[in-house]
Amino acid sequence: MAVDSIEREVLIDAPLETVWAIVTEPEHIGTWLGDSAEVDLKPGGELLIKFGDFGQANGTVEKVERPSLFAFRWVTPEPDRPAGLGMEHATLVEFQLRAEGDGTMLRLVESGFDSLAGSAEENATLRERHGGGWGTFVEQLVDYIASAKASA
Amino acid sequence: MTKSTAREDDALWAAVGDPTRRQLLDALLARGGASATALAADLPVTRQAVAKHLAVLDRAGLVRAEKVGREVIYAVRTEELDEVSRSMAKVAAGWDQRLARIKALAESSSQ
Repeated sequence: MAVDSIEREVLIDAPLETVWAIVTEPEHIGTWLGDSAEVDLKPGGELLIKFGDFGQANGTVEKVERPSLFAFRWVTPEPDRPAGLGMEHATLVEFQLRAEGDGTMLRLVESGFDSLAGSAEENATLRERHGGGWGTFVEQLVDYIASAKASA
Repeated sequence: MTKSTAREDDALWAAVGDPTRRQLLDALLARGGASATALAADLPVTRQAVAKHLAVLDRAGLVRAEKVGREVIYAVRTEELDEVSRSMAKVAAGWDQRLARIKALAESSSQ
């Protein structure tokens, strides 16, 4: 596996069409990826994903090959870089779907970290973070606040 | 928290990006409310450092300060932190967490 990319696969117990809808439709993307999303679902279409007070990801749809391939380029909001950067800071995200029995195999590849405009170190940090680096802490915080509120 | 501006976004990132400040939030949540002196006793940092970190959290709207007698008592603004941490959970999520959410959504909607 190239160091340049993040690759994941997950087997989902749902039909291909259902998974395709959840992966590509803005009202679903606004649930699993951000707080809200606007996606013009065609090659060259604009993509905007909002993350509350943390800013937004901007990008462009690259490929829409229903129901097997959805790809977009995006510039994500990060703690250590300014907002509103251009597409030279974008990585490529690809979702590949295929039927597997009654379910769906969903494969995710995010690539292009090595050719970003940042320094080699910044690009490596970004790849680590997108791979899952600091999300766990935050999930713990959400759980902790929920339990603190419940016992208050 | 008021409507976000670029400045507030920066304050928020700075507030939660530092491990000591996250420890402070944890300690404050556990205690309910505490003075800088009491928090310094809990954590391996000086009272002065705690006061500085609390000021950063205050500017980001995550804690509030209240004068009680001669002491200033700090408490987490739970509603704000709740909202912020939910957005933060999404922006900070890696692909494992996102794919897990896609899987859960797809499987619950196909039943």
